[in-house]
Amino acid sequence: MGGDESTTERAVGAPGVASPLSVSVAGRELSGTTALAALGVGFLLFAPAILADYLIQILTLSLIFALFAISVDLLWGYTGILTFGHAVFLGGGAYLMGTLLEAVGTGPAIVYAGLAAGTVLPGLLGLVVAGVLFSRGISEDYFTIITLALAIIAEQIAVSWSSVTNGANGLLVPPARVGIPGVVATELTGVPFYYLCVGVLLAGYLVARRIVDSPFGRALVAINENETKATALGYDTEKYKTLVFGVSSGMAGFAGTLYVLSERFISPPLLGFVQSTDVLIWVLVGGRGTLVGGILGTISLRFFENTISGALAFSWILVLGIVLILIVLLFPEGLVGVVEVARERLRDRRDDEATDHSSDPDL
Amino acid sequence: MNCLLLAGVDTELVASLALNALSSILILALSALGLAVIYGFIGVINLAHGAYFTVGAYVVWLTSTELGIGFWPGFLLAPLVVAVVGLLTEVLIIQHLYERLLDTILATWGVALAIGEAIKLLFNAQSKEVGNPLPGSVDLVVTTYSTYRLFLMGVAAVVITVVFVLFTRTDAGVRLRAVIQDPTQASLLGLNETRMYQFSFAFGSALVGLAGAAVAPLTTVEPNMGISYLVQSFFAVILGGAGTLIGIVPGSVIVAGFSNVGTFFISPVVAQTLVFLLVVALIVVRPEGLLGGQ
Repeated sequence: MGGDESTTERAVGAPGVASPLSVSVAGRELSGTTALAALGVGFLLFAPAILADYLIQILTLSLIFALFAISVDLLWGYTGILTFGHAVFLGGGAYLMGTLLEAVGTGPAIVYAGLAAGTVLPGLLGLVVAGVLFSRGISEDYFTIITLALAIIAEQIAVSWSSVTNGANGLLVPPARVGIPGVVATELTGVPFYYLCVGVLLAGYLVARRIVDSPFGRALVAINENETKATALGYDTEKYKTLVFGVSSGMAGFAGTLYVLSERFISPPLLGFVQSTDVLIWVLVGGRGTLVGGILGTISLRFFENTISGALAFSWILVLGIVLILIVLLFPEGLVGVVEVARERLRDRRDDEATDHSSDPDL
Repeated sequence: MNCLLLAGVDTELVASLALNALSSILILALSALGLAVIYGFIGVINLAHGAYFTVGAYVVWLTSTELGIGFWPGFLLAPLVVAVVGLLTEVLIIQHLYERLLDTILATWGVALAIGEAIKLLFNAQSKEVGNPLPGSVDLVVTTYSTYRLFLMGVAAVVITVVFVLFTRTDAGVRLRAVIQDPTQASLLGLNETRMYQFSFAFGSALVGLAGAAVAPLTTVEPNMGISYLVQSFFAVILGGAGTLIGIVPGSVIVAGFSNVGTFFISPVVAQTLVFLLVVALIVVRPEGLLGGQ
């Protein structure tokens, strides 16, 4: 896909040439994107100086969920694997960390063990689930339905296994301490924890970007575009799909461990199908297959949810449902796609005026 | 010796267990049949199927409590109301997505969210009770059994049989399947593809609406009650083999039968987890379904 972009970039100016709305948007128009990225990072860095404490709290959790959204975008946006059960891995990581903190201890060594276990074990589980299903060439819709069932079952297990999870009431987790094991240990809350999450999200984004831009990532995109063709070209598509599912599950699990450090509370819906589909809506609204879109979608939708939903009573989900239908029907490329279409239309018009002959916009 | 003695004593228990399992199998088969028409034939992954089930249950709750006209008008009305909901979904949304079927998953999930939330807004989130319209029981020699459940099994069995006959033996049914199997060929023959799709969607929805109405007196009616039926129906269809109507019979027997019996002997959650693992294992071994040949 990286190679495609430069040609598309030039082709846009030529009249009559359709410019296929490429899935990967970031990376195109480097200068504009860099400026926007700088603006975004700048906002995140200065937010604690501008925003009230409770907004920072909302933003902190949004950053954690944005990491979760990136993990889903890797699967869905880039590889075309639609899962309705990714919260199982988020919640799995969260319950691992939560149980460790609650039952074993709250020192730095435990926290690091929790971060590692909460990433590696969900990752391995993801490898097993995807490995079993993909090795038999399960079709896309079967995969989606099985993941939906997985999320429903996981939530039921979390509700009924109350000796570990405290059931539907949820698990209260004591505050964790970070530092150097045996030397320094301090609680990490408020603004310092917020900055930690900013750093983690940026790192997560860079890792995902690196994956996407690598030969491995290009194979994923090839699978997304045409799996039969990718197989014919010699890609072991099962292996790629399984691997990216494992990586993505590990990432989701890691986000789950951070969730616990931030909220100090877990309840079963965290690994259920509602959470699993919320993240799809965040990614869809932001724009799938863009990584940045997932971040934007998560932060903006969660912001609206936390500010507007009070005024709308509990009809926020109704809004989400209708938004979901409208986006699928009208803007399947999401927010980033809308901006991109607008930008190309504008550019087409400019070009038309410059060359002074009209051509079909072809969009 | 001991075993024989136990078996003798428990005939009554075994009989009512078997009847319970059979009634949940037939209910699931009704819902799965609706899905088989929509998913198996048209290929639309309708995640609003569970919400339609819920709507069916709310219709009988409305008529028997809020409107005070009793259970039976609601029982007849539920399939019609849900057929209209299904038809609206097809005309407003699905119709525009036949080019990208996988996106119907997301759009119909949006429909499911919207319906669930609309129900909460209209009738609040508390669970409701629907009174049993046929209280009392029938003496079946080996055991006495709930009249309503027997009635239910009869209705489901009749409806399922009629649908099978309609689709496999009648002219209209054969034509419908022709359209679905080969839209271009069918449109050359002058069959209206759009009409047929709309009819199938409304018809499949009516079946699940009936299933929801039928279950209402046996369970608590609440906004999310359909979700487990959604997943179980999909499993029943996939297990049997999408595209074969008859496949929903073994599919429903496995999914509903095992979870019903398992719930009695072990806990509901463990039973459902085991059924889930079993279903996934079967799908992995035979992705084309038990009866999906080729």
